[in-house]
Amino acid sequence: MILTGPEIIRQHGLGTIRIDPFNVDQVNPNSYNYRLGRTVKVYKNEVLDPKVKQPTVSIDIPDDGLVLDSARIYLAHTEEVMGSDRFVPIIHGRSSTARMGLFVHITADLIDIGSYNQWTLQLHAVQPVRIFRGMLIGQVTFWCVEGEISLYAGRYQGAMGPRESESYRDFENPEAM
Amino acid sequence: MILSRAEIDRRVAAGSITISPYCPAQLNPTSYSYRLGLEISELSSTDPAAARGDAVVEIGQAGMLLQPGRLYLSHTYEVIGSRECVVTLMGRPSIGRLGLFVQLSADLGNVGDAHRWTLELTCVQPVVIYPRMLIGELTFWETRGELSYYSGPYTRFSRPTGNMRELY
Repeated sequence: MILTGPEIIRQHGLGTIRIDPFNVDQVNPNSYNYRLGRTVKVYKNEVLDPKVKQPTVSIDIPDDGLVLDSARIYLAHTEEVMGSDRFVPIIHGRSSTARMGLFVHITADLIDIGSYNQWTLQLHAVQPVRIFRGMLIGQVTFWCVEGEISLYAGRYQGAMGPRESESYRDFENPEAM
Repeated sequence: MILSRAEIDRRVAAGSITISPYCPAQLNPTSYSYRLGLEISELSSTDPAAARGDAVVEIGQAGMLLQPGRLYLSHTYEVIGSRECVVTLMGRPSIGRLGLFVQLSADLGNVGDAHRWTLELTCVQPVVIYPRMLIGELTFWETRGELSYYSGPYTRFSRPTGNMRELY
């Protein structure tokens, strides 16, 4: 079951959904529009090895926007801090963003329940596309859970700004591989 | 409704969800982290019929470098399925942050038989993959209504399998 717009407003009022800052004008019939934050990170290396911590460079999106190159992955973030202990958030691009050929995530749309962050967006442009800080870039939906809930306590908890991959941690315990 | 970690664990024990091999340490709050399988093939043709013959190779222990602009078919290490709930499949956040797609817009499974699922890998920048690395997550969803089971061509396969459909 997916929450309707009025239910998102109600649950936000009850404190079971956190969206900060929250603006009622950004509520849709069954989702909430989030904004693009000001910082973007790119990897210094061209070849990315998930076993190795990858160095990054941070870029502040200028007033006149930033043109994304289709050959790079850009890590951006939501302006809002969002999360819930009761509902599972799933992120989507906005239809108007998608119509520009801009991905806001790379196959990983599920946000863990109990994870409160500025969420990292995985931006990928099919053709070069210009992005602006504060633009309405995507939507989040909230879903009901079946079964006893245990909350997220993982590696990206509390993140502010974009966070690069920590996949190398998955390789730290060789017996687990 | 999406199943919680406790509910996924309960249903694996009850047998209504198949994840094999199963490791409780790979449970997340509302998903299960799956591993990349051992084999891969590179799509070599624009012709859907010819692509069925693409060679399947093992992913070396030292890793394999994927190049942008190419499509690779691999598979989950685990046999996955459920005759009770719907499985959706996605990449792990840590993998998405490296610009590696593990499925392309077709994330919805069918209720029915269990098998190793084919993954559609493509990357934005060159990226290295390793056999058995944690690469994606599965979510499980309750259904409403009478169930009918998938009996299509892909369920027989547990290796990376290219297009089987007549598209035109």
